[in-house]
Amino acid sequence: MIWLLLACFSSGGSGDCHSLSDGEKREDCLFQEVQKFSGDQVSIRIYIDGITEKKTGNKQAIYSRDLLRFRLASSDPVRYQWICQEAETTAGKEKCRQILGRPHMTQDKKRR
Amino acid sequence: MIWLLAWIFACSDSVPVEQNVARDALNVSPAELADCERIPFPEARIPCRVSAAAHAAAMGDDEGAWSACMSIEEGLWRDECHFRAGEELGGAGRIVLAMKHCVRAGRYARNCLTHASWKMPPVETLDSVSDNVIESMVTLEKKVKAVLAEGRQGLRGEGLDSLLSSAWFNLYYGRGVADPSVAKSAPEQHAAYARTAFALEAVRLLAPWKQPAPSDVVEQVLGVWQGKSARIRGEKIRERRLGRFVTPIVPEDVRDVSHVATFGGGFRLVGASEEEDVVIATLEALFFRETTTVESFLPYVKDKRDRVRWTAGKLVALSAGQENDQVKAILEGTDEVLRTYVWQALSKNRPAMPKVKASP
Repeated sequence: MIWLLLACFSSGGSGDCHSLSDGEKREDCLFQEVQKFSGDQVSIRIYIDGITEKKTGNKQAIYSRDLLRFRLASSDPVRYQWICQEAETTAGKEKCRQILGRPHMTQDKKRR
Repeated sequence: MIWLLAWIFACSDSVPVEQNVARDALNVSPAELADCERIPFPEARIPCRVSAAAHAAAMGDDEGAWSACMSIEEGLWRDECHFRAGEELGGAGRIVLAMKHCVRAGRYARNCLTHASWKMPPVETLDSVSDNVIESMVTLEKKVKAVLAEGRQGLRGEGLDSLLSSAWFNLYYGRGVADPSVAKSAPEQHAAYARTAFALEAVRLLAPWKQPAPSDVVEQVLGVWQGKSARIRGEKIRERRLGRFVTPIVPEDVRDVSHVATFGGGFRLVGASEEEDVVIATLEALFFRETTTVESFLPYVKDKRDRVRWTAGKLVALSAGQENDQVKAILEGTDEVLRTYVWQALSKNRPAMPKVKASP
């Protein structure tokens, strides 16, 4: 059973966010989950990259990944600007330009 | 069998989802503030409100811009909202309204004042030979001063500095006439900006960028200023009012020496006399001209007038770089202020091209 659960955990990913059929609740759940990594770049990247259509059944997974990136970057541009550089969709890249295209927003205040 | 069922249920943490919530949230391009309100996620909704403010400002709708910015909590994104609104209103020629946003842009207020000023387009019916230039400029100054007075202390001087620099630039640069009359009659607070702008247009007309600059261009500009030569006329330009510029270089040694804003946020020293100032303004105008080489500045590195020499040293360093023999000689020389100027120019600033674009 332990092996089965381990196999299950490694294949599914992010808690039970993907079981939520309400799109808003699902996206909020994912956002709360990714914030738990407290800025750890490797963990955040693995988490976001793990949201795939195959694993989640969400055909719009690519947009979920970009929305997460944009929400993170918007919540703290200095800390999370890097993740916006990984936006994949045209819409995600366009939104991220609102942060990445504005150098003053991504500079640490102490260095300004 | 029970274990198998347990596994199936435990693993079924994903359900097929057809909702496009994420895609929809990313695809909102707000034509108005209400468009943002259907985004359920605050981290996406707030930047959307900034876009709505910028859109309204670009259309000249100041009220719409204010509504959008004030719908955002105080902090980084509200500062950014006023910054964007200020930039767009400046670009739409509504500079006084732009400045009102800029003084509310908090941490970005200084950037906003510079950007709004330099995005300000020229007024088609007002140039350096119009009848009502001085009156118009003084009125603009008064209005902007009143707005800046609402901002924090440090912004007042900087805001006016950027505005006057850009407004005079618009009166002269690209207009096809370098006539010193209006610059000579400019009120004291405007005079240095007016001379900068006159020199920029004079150099543009005397030394077309595609040809080497005449070796006597500084003397020629001075001759026009002194009335020994007629005002210069030539081709107008409306597009590509760009040039080489640098960020401010003001060494500690010359902090007390008067200086003014120049194109793109840089500073230049103001000469001790009117004519000395025309020489300095002309040297800076030669640097703005992207094809000017170091040879144009070298004769002035040994000038007896301190401010002319320091300006030339800075421009030699910026146009030739550290490997140049003349630059090395200055760095090994005994002129302390000149050395500091050159060193700061080399270490703090490398001009990049293409530059900030002034509005067409």
